[in-house]
Amino acid sequence: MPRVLIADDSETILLLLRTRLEMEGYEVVTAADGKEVTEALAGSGPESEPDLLLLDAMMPRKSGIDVLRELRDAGVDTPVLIVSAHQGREDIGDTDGLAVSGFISKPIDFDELLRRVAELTRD
Amino acid sequence: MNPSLANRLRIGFAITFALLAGVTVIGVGRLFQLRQDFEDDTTRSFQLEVAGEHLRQAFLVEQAALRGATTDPAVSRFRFERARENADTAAADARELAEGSDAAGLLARRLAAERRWRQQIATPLLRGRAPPPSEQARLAQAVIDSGDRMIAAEGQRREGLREEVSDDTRITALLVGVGLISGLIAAVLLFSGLIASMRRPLEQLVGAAGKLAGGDLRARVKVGGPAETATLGSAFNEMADELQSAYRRVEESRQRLAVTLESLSDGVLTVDPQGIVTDANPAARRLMPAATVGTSVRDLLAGQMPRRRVERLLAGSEEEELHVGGGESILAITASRLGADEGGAVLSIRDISERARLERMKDEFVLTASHELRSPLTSVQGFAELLMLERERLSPKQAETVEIILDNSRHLVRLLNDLLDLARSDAGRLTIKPVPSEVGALVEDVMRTMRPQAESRDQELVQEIEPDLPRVNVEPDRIRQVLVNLLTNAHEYSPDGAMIRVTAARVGEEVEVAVSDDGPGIPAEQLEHIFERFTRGDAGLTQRVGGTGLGLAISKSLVELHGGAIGATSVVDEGSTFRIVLPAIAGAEEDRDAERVVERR
Repeated sequence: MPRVLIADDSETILLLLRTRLEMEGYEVVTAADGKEVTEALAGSGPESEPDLLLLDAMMPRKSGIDVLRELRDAGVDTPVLIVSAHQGREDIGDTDGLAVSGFISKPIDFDELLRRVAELTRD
Repeated sequence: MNPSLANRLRIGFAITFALLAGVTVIGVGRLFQLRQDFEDDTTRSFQLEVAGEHLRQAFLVEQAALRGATTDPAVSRFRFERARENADTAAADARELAEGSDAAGLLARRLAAERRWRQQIATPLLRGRAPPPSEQARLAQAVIDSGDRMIAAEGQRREGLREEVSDDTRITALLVGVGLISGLIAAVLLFSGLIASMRRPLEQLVGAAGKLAGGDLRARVKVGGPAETATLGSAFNEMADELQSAYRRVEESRQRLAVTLESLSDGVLTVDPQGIVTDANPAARRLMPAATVGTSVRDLLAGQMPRRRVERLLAGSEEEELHVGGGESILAITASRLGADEGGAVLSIRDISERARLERMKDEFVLTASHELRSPLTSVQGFAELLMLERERLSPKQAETVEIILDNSRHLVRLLNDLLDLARSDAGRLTIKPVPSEVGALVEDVMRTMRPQAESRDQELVQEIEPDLPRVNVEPDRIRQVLVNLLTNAHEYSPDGAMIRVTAARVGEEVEVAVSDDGPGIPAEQLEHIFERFTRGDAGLTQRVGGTGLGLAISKSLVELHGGAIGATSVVDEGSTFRIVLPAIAGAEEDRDAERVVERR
């Protein structure tokens, strides 16, 4: 069962995503900000490592992009989907070289989300 | 009223003429008369002389008649009587002729002498008594002498007459000459007098006109002289008055204009036909300090705007924006051409930094708000969808409720997307990534998507795509978005069973796609505003939750962003046609991935 880490500063969104993904059978770990993401990853062993990261682009203190950059620099190569209120890539920031696997825009089209998640967590 | 020059002249010349004519007539008349008198007198004189001769002759005949007095008295008497009759006749003639003249006296003596002879010689002789011969001779001689004297006197008198007449004639001629000359002198004097009377007013007039032309608008003349110059004078004064007040009015309005320009908060620049600044009001000097009198507007703007836009600006057709001060302030410049005679233009400069700032704030606000709304919307929609996934566990009522929540949240999302598109378009941040695309393929995609919906209401979708259409540089998703919008409108506003036709054809250098329906059509007043925001068709038709009222506004922005145009025609009760045109790719040049940003005009 693939494990997905979701990071978003909105509890409601976290709840929503968790519920939906868990309905599909995924294991879900949540983080409310960049710090919790790093903690969650640090605190996970090889078995409890997430297979996919869903990062909200806009979070207080550290944005999803910054978190990603740090992770990539630290050698974390887990696939990442960026969730953002922006429709186009241009407003999100520079994501070159950060190996972003995809962008999901808000409001979330769950059909598409589930499809991407399934694609990216296929072993 | 001053007497008229013309009248004076007329009168003057009339008098002069009359004078001259008079003098001439009188002179000539007198000469004539002198001549006539002379002739008469001379004739009379001659006649008198002749009468004298007759008398003489008659006397001689009388004398002769008496010669036979002693021998034949009867015959003598008879002859004498007859001679006497002749003599008397001659005497009577002579008396008539001599009447009133000097000759009368001499004639009287002659006749007296004759009478004496008759008495003292003739009568006695006839009676047979012969007076002494010496007496006869003496008295007879007396008669003849007195007769001769008379005749001689006449001759002399005639000489005298001739001289007299000569003198008279000369005098008359002299007088006529003098008269004519004085008449002419009088005429000359009159003429000069009249000219003089004109000269001063005319000089004044000329002087005043000169002053007026030289700029002294107070120049006036004294109205005087003959009527003509007086009229001219007062006309001149009127004209000068009018000129002065007209000048004053112009000056006042110029001042008003100057004050207005000074006080305007917008800058005003006047440029001549060559684009050189001829005037700048204080606001202009403040807003564009470099635009001083004598500088070239083209040079000023050359660094900040392409040449083409500068020319368009000066032609008066566009408002241009200028960023000065490192983008700190923004100026809006418009030009109005001046009339054909002067040429040149008036440029109006307005500081719209504030306006621009406010617009930016508005755009930022809308963008930010739209973003902010996305998260809560995500939640609402997401949770509603979750509920829908479990609808078997809900009561029908609950299921309906959830469905409504879901539909509306989806509507909200569409609205938000549309608003965002428009806000980005306004803010100049709507971007497209055009690639060479086949219009036909796009149309077919969209038709495919729309078919289920159309069929659900028995509507017929017809497509007519011209073969070999040129490709267009467009972002496919965006054009599809536009086509979906047009087809959705056609679908929604047409009744069941209607036909919707989509055509794609080449028109000149462009490709035109038209969506026509035979629905209820759009009235002209609505058609005018149909591409504006939040306008919708007749709400009575379908209050479908799906419509946002922004679809056409966005379609317009998108189409224009691609360099195309959108338009609509409609006839009420017959249907509507919406057309978009997109520029075709010319030749084989294609830009791949050329990014185009909305040009801020």
